[in-house]
Amino acid sequence: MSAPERPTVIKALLIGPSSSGKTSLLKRYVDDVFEPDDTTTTIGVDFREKKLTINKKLYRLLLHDTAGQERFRTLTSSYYRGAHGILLVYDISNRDSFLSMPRWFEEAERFAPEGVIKILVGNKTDRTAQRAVKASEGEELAKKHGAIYFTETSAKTRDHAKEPFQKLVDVVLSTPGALDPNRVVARKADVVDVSAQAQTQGGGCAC
Amino acid sequence: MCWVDVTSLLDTTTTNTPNPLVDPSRSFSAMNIEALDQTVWDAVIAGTGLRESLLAAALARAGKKVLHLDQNPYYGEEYAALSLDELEAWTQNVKLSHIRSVQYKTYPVPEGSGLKKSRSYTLSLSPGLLYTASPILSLLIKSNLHESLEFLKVGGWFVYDAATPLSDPLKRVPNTREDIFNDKTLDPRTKRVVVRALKSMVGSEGVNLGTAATSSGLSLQQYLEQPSFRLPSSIIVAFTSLTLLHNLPSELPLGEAEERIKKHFDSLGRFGAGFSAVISRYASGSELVQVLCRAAAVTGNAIYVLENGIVDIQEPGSVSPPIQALPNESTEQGIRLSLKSGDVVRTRHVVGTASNLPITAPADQISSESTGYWMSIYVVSSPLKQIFQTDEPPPAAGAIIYVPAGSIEVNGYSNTNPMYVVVHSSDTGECPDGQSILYISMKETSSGGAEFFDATVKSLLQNLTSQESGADNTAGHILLSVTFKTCADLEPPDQSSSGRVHLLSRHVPMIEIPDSLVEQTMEIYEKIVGSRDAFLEKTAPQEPEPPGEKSG
Repeated sequence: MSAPERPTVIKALLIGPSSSGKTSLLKRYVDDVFEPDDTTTTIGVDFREKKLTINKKLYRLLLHDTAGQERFRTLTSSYYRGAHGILLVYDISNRDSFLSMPRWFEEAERFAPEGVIKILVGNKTDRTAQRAVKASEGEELAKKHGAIYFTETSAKTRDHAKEPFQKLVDVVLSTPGALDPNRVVARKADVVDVSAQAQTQGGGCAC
Repeated sequence: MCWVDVTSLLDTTTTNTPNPLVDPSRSFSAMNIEALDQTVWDAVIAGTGLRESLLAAALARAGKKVLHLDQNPYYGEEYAALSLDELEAWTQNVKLSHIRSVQYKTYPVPEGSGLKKSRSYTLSLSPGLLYTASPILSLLIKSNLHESLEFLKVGGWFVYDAATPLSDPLKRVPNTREDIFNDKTLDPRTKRVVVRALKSMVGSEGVNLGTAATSSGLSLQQYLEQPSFRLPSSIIVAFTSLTLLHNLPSELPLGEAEERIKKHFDSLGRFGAGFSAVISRYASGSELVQVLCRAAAVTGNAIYVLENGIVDIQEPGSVSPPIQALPNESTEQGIRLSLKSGDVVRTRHVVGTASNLPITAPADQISSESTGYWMSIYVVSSPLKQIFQTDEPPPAAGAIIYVPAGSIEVNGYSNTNPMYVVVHSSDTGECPDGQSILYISMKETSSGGAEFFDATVKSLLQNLTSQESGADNTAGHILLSVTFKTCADLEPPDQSSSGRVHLLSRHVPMIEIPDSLVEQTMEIYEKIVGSRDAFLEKTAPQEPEPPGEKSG
């Protein structure tokens, strides 16, 4: 807050079926780590943050993970609020994972702000032998549901792992209106600041 | 007066009626079911109402394992936010015994000004107003959850006076001493008395001096009409409007009124000048619920399953006397719960309202003493800009209009009880631009009910929009109304004997999200955790314990 320039916030979400590697992909991008034994759906934090400088401008990329609420498809509609971009992630070694994607597109369509940038990601390309989804199928699905980009990644081997995030930021920044502060979801001006600092003492008694 | 119905309570827990909202493709995989019964949960909570969700978040943050269920395909229960389609389905499928005479009505309107697509609406069954001094708000701030919410001002409090069409029919209720002294409609003597009366009720510097009359059984009206004040009815009505209570001023106990008015003034200025209450963007209470449930999930300690509920509870203590079993043993054994999905899970505690648990709760039956209310949600094709104007930016997104008894006439009868109209602007994200949402409520009367709502909204639209648009005379229209009867003031049920099944009383939200929800939640939290310390406080992220292991 003391910085001379307030970074622009970009909010991105990951969605998709359980065990598609959303959190791994996120950790690979933010911390460049991969924890093979960490198979829990837990993340313990509300979102991860990556600070970016693009064309000498500061950005805060806030990446929200599903917190396990994708497991029984109980993500809240509030999870989608204000999102600029969504990464839809499936597992290329699991056919069911891919087959569930139309429902995730529908959910994004239903709850995310209009004009949200969607990117389809087929993860786990390291599992060459178990591949159950062709890249061309992913390509086709992305086109069908209006995802502006499709890529296949491996959080484990780093294969293209940063690409969907970088692409998302690129597209958000290059799409006119995508970061427009007048979008309903980003209209912060009329919000009451209820943070502790804003709280005045004693209230305003009439007497 | 209200009604008694116990049978429908049973219906909600034993039948498997297909729900039109249910997504048939959303099914449980074998792996998931296994995961649910591999652990002994610390608490299984049935229902995602505000108390249940607050409890889930607090327990999960305290390291307790929580399985949180809801029979509906959406979050929120009594605070649920619905699209038009979902709301229509809700009206056709209400399973709650305390909600009756539900009517979903659309109105013919000129082409182009009608309802927009279903999902551009986020309609709640209650407006979810929060005073800025509310303990719920302080809890959200203390626990940093306010960062996931956007609070908007509830600006003006108005009294609607339809009888004076020439002057402004909406009279703003003065908020401060300056407002009172600047009010041109009051004479100097009245101004002084109003300030004195206010002082006597709310005290100075926020300290309630307490009037001797508080406990004397006087009504607010009697108090303000006594010789030392002799205030006119217009002033008494203004005082009443600040209470958010639906009683007539003559039937409003002074003590209760004082408490409410004090709360209003205590709340003024806390987060800025000129307003005492806020609403959260996107159907207020529903958004609070969702943020709490995500906070619970984020800890890794809470699992969410919708469209599932508890159909049977088997307590281990029910066979053998509790004295013979060591407390630890019985705790380990846990309660066995059968779920609607066919799963059987074990837990140490069960929490829910009677409508979400398979138990008969005599105290939760609606008694004939309970007060009945008419409630309604209207969508209108006018932004009603005038009522959201504020002296200082930002503009308000909510406003309260008090319609006194006797001010609206239908077929020669006028309303015998006052009405509250809570207006939400499209800034809330709950309706498209150019439209607004009106939540109306009124105590049930022997003569007529909901027909007064239509007349009130039409009268408001006529008076407000004609002023707004001036010459072009495009009055707003009613696009949609959903009206129902509900019961409030229910007795809290007795606690279950074992101390492990925690029964919540039925919660019927009216205008405000009541403070008492925090206390009710904390009581159960204390029974499960052993203390109220650090309620909802965020602990450092910990690696989750493997399922099945005892936590805490």
